[in-house]
Amino acid sequence: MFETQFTNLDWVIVIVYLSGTALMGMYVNKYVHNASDYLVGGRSAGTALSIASFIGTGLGLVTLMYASMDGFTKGFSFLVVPLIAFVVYLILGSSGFAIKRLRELKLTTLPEYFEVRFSRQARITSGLIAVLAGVLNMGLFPKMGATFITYATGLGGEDAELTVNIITSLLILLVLVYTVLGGMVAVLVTDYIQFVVLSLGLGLGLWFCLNSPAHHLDWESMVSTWQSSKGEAAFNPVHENSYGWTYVIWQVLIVFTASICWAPEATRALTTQDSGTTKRTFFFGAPGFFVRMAIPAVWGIAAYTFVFHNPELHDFFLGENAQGHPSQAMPLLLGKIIPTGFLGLLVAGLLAAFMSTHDSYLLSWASIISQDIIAPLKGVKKLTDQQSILYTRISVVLIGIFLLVWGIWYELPDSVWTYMSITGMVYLSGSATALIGGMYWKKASTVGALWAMYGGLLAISGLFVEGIQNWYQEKYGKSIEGWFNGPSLTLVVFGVCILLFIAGSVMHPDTDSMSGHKEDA
Amino acid sequence: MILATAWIKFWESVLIVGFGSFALLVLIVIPMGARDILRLFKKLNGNS
Repeated sequence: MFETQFTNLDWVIVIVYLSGTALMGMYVNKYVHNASDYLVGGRSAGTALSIASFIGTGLGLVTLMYASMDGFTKGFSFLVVPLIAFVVYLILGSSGFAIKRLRELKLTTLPEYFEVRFSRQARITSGLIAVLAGVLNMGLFPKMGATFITYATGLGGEDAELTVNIITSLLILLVLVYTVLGGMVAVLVTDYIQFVVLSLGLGLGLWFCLNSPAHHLDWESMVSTWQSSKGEAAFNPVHENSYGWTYVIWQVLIVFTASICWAPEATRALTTQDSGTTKRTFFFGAPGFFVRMAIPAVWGIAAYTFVFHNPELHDFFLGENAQGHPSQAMPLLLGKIIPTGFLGLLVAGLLAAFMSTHDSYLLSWASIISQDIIAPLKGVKKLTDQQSILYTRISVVLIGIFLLVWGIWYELPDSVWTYMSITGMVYLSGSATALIGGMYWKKASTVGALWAMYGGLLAISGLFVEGIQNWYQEKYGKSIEGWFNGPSLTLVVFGVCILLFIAGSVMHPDTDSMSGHKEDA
Repeated sequence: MILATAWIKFWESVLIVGFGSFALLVLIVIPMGARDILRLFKKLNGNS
């Protein structure tokens, strides 16, 4: 049932490709002369390279996994999320809202903004919360990557859980070596390679998903299968049996704030040649941010169709005693419909992308630890190059150890995207409020910014909603009111952060000496 | 069902526009990105 078309030839392709990419990273590393090169790539990426790197960061195996999981469970309705991303990036790119000003300040990390505009304490607080949310957010990345490899290569079966855990550990080790040796210049180059290989890989996967009639896979068959099994809810995202209005509004807010404040993506806005390049990167990057979720969503939609028409798999994934998890469906589908050779190339490209997403993320969070937490706490304006790179590397290893523990202990929820949105909101609800408020409201004060950031911590409660719901169901035999869910809860937290920001700024305005030149930031 | 049909048409159009614009972007960015990388190396080589 779990056998795929992955053969020894494919393993050879994977090993050659990954070794080649690692050697490339080491070669590029020769061009890194100082901390600025290591952390922001010498701030000299042109428009095309910025776009490729911008999309390359977001175009990871993890993105493909969570988008395909929601495609598998919610159908065409999930396409509303990539559509929101498409529109938000077009608007930001054409208006330059917030991103233009951020680039003009020549920052290395985002929390640095809070020191320029508010105070050192605001910077440290933002840095701590950003790292907490960021590391929790990527907590499930290694496990998702390992699940993909296990099921795409035909290793799924009775011992699948053990296999997933072993591969998770190996992947984390590989990522740490890769990141510690490289840096942002290497990221820019390897991201470009990912962009090229994965664009072709995504197209290839899509073509097979829409042209495999032997497996009931073509557009008409997918539409009719979903229509017969889920009805209108498969296509209408605001339908009561689909996501609903609250979720869609929540997504608009998340995509908008993340594009400005979420370090791995927003750091790209800081590494361009000038603010014009930043605007162009966001505008022309928009189709990339659509495709990175829309294509895997179609893969997930196809996986459901494939499983639906295969009696054995239907029982495993959709039967009364279903044991399958949505995360296993898409890799299994690709492993079965993509021919040997092509499959090896696709898995190699996705594994390399997995590395590049991790090195971008690890470097983003680790550089916040060294630049925004350690440096201000030591009372120095700037760490020396050696210190900066050393602290960043130590942070990378510590985050890696956390990922190992969290990845093996925490069970994959049915929607990893919802998990990622909630953990993201821990940082985004407070920091986005303080960032946008600080830019566009003269009376914004340090106390207001700090209150908003602390308020964001309330969003952590969103992670426990599912557990509370299950407990309530067991104890009282019915489910809690419909409004009690992660999206509603974190939307309320966002509102609380805005109120705290306004109240703190009005009740505790900055003194004149503090805010003299800062309002222009 | 009429509403579902309208949604299907809508998603068809969205996918065509989204995938089409991405294909165009890929064709433009691949050669230009390669040129940017060569420039970046030259610049860093002449760097501290």
